Amino acid sequence: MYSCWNGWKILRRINEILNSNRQSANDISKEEILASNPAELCNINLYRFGPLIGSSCENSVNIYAAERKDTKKPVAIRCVNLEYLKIPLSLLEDELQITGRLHHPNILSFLCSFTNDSYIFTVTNHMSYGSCRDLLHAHFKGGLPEQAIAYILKETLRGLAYLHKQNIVHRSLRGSHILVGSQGRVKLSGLRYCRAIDHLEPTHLSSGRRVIHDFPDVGFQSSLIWASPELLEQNLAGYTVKSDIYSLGITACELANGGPPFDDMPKMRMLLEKINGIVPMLEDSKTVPSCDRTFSNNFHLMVESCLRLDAHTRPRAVELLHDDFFKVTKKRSISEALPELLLPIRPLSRLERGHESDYEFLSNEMNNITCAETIEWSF
Amino acid sequence: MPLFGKSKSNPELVRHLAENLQALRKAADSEKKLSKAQDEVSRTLQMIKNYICGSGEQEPQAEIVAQLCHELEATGGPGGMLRMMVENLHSVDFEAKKDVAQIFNKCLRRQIGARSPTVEHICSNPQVLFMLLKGYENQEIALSCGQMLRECARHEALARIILSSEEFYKLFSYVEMSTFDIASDAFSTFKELLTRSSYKMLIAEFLENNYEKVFEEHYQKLLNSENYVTKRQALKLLGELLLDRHNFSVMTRYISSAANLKLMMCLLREKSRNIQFEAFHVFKVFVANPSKPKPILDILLRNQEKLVDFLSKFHTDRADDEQFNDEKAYLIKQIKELRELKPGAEDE
Repeated sequence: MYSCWNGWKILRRINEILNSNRQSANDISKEEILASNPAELCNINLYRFGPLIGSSCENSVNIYAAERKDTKKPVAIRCVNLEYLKIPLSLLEDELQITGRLHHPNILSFLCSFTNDSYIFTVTNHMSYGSCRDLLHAHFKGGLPEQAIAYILKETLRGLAYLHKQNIVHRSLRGSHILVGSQGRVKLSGLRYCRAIDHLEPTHLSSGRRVIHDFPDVGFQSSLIWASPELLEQNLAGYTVKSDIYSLGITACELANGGPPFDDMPKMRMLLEKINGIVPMLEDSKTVPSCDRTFSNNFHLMVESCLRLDAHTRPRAVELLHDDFFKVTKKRSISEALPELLLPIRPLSRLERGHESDYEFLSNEMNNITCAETIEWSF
Repeated sequence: MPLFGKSKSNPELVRHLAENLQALRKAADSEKKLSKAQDEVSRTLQMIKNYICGSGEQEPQAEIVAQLCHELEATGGPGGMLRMMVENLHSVDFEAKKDVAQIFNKCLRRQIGARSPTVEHICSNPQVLFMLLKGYENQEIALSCGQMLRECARHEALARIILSSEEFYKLFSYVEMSTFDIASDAFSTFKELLTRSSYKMLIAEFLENNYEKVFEEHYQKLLNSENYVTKRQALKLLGELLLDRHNFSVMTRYISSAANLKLMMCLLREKSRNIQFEAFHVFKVFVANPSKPKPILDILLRNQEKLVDFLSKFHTDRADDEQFNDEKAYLIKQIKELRELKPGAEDE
């Protein structure tokens, strides 16, 4: 009786996912479906830990490849040790609360999140190619092939359009926050600095738009290069979802050239250049004569439209989806094309032997927490 | 009956929602009917949401918002559609759950002059508040309920109802759940209810009148929780509560209890440095109290040397935290200077 009801719930969930985006029906994974009943997933002993695949916030946040012991399904587990966390806990809480309200094939969702001692574990789908930044590091030092960028950015834009429709500004869109999985699944992550603006009332000052004025919290420094001039400027006009479109433009440059523009200059100069309207461009034979790559005109135009200084004239995410640049993606499906375009990099599929470890190594770390001198009080 | 392409008047829209929410409940046994009702509910909710919250660049029109909010309260029996939407939250789809939360919150924020009609409406139909609280028990709707509950907690009149109810104490167990996202959502609701600046007097009154129940019966458990996050956050919140000048009499009572002092001294030597640090900020209040009751003084005196020694080695790496170092130095000085009460001076 019970299992029958469960099965029915799963069916409904599948239906929901199918309806939410028919084109990416192949994105459904068992984990996503099970997410409707994550309580049973909230057990650290259910997972076998593999290698460290990423870390952030001065190594206080670590992401491990892992797999479920029962189904052998690969997952990724983010481990945050609250004893050493370098950013306010509230940022992580906000991230979980916002992400819990999102459901889209192009946004990395949390399958479950639970605490164990001073750790918060967050389980997500495993994205076997890693982030776009990992791809650049691993092989494409000079930038990804243009077609791969088109596929990746198009999927990213789908996720972004969904966020914007919900009146959420991502605020830290960048290569390292775009994850690529097997079969060309592309998901947006890094929602820690997201800001929902649906509770804001449009004002006269902002000519009837909902705008944000505040600057993202500590820990945001590393995303400054991707931030839009209006966000950095912090003036009365504030910024809107269009700020993310600027970041998308910078991300496009990053993916095309192997690193974001402004990377080599002091932060203050970058700020001045952006505010003074210096628009970065894709580097290729058309802009830098010594360069031997050449990007299509459509790519140049798309990047130019994203990086316009006047935020209102930048296209909206839904409009960008129909940009000519993305026409190249129509010929072949992403699941077929992207893995080929990313060769020689292959997805990390199984947990590699030799890396196997268990939760114990974390427990050891926990016991290392410096104990206060054992004092016995006399009561 | 298709909704798109045909413009429905607002009362009709709300009635349509009511009918389909009812159908949703009745159709539980027929898959086909259920999914049809579900689709209709989702579509209607989305339309209502677009009308009252705006969509994309389109901003909502004040008149339509007022009319729709009014309809939502008037339709669907006691508690109106607000109750009905929350009641059926578990059976609508994912996006519809969010729409419900948005519609609900927008209604609550509506004002006519100084009046908040929806707040008044919920005051006379408070059962919806308890449904929202209970929502924390259901994984699927917990976060949506939390979102609505916090919006309610912004209003003094609604906070009063929640605080004076038996159901409020359920929050003490919700914040301890191991599912982190829900526990943390419950904690922010809990914190909002106990620290919201717009009704500090209400909170002080509540804490004072329910001191035993809140602190001795329930809060104590959080401070002894097995759950690290709960323990740490509860301790931090306790510090904030005690140091808020509105809660002066609660503080005086708290720092007169030897059991509380013992607990803080134990927490000072927890293995987690963060917990030690939060405990310090509660412990300091006991020591700084100029008129310490005898049992407190006795404990401090019995541990005088140990405490001085412990504190001088306590978190010495926080060299740049000036306030902390000043406070620590002050405590050490105070503890060094502690003397037995002269007999007879006890009642001071």
